[in-house]
Amino acid sequence: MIDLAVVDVSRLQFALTALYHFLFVPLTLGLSMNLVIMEAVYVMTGREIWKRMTRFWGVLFGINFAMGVATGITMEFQFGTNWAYYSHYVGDVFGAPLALEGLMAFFLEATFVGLFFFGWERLSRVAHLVVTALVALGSSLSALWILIANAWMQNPVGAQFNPQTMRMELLSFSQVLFNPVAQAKFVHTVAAGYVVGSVFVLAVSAWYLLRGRNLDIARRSMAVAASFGLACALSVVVLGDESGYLAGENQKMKIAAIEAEWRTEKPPAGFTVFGFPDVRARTTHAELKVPWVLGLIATRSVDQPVLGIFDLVARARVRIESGVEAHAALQALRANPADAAAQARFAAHQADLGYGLLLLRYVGDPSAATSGQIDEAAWSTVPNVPVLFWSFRVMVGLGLFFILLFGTAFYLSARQRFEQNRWFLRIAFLSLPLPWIAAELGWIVAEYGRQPWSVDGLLPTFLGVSVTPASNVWLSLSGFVVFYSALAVVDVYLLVRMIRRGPDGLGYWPPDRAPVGAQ
Amino acid sequence: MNHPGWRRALRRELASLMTLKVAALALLWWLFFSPPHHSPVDGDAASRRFALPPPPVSAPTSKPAGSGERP
Repeated sequence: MIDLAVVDVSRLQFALTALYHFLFVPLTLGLSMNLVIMEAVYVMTGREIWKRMTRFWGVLFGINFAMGVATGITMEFQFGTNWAYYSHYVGDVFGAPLALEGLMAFFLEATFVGLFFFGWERLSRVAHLVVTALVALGSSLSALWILIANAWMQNPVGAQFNPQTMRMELLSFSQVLFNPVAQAKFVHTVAAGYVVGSVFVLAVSAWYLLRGRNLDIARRSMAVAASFGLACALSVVVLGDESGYLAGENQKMKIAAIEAEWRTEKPPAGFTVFGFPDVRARTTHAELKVPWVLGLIATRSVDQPVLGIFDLVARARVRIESGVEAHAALQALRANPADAAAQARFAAHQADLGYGLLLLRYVGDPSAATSGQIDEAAWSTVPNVPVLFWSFRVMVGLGLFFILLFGTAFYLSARQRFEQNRWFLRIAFLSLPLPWIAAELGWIVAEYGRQPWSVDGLLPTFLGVSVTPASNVWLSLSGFVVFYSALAVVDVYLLVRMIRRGPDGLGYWPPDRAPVGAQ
Repeated sequence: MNHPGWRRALRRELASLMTLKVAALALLWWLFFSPPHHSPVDGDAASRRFALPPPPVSAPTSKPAGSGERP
């Protein structure tokens, strides 16, 4: 039997390192696009203040970029150290987009980020703008490949299982590449990153305005962040709706858990705005529902049901029983690959093999599973309902708040009335941590909602873990905690130091050339 | 731009940083990736993990049986 302590600590390690890494990724994405906008204005107008803005925010981008790189590499190591069976089983498919991310996106980004910092005096205006745009493009391409890999775990297409090698093998790279889940996740995640970058620029600029420093730069930065952020915040909601619709098609259990919908409702299902999911009683107390909304989001129809958890568990039970057949056929095929009867039996049931494997948590041989164990395995397909329910609602609430925040900022920017509304500047500054909270909750919904699967419907998470003592994983986890805590202190120190110094303290211009108040 | 002292200092700094980096990488390798930490995973190991018997021949076939795509 598999050591479940290793499974738990390996999951904890990956979750912590991934959540930590994603503190830096969205800011890199968002700041790089803000830099492109600011520098484009500089190139178009020739006004030096826009160059100064680009250089100042570029320094903050650089600090964040370095941290993002350092924290991202460790996750790829974990696939080998902690998830060796996962890597063996799906590495042929999952490894391809990860390799492309390194070769295509990261190399592009890492090459041009040097030119961005050291090319100001060596490149023409237009050439430097192209460099900045390539850095932003590299960041977004990097996100694209990672999200293609992640989307395959949510919706595994374009691959087939080889019973002889015991691994999934790539059948169609174009199917993996154009996986609809990947497309929806990419635009939703990148737009969310743009919101993070825009809130960062808005909040830091608000701090300058509150202190009466760097007023010209702060006003312009707020105008850029407000307009770009408003467009992105609106996009996040629309693109998140697309993500929800695709999850409704491919990951019905995730949607049911997010909605705490225990029983299938008569269509169109209502959206639960508020309630207290009770896992023991398998019900939701004090529900406050808005009619039709869930049905429209998840099915885009008024006559299709959104299946509830009880019905989906019943379906999982049927698939587990079919998976037991697949497992038995695979046993026969492993003993005799030429066994035609076993081949036919396996072909008929192999889509449910992953469900059969869920039983290995409860019994050594799935064929010997009791009805009670099959029930237990069927209910294990339900992710943590309260966590998903609340994470999703806080994320959506924050998303709506950002639209309000950027909308107000856009209005005040158009009227040039930031300084007269200090209450807004305080709110904008205090909003600084909120987009990170929303982004992290988004990943919790996506990944925790995929449990108990590493690869949805194919590979249960507990089967992907390496054979290694839990103490080893605890040791490396402790190392990560110490190392990442130190990195966090350095990162916050550098960012705060640079922000406190401000554009006026970075000394990009000799005093005699400093165009104070330059437009 | 001819500052031999500056160049020497830079060379020394780069050399010490590279040495430190190689030492740190070697320590990480020794702690987490050296042979005692290897957990070899192949088709047979995956079979055991999935409670399946090992195959009679270890060579993989070029044509897998059936399609593994999801419905």
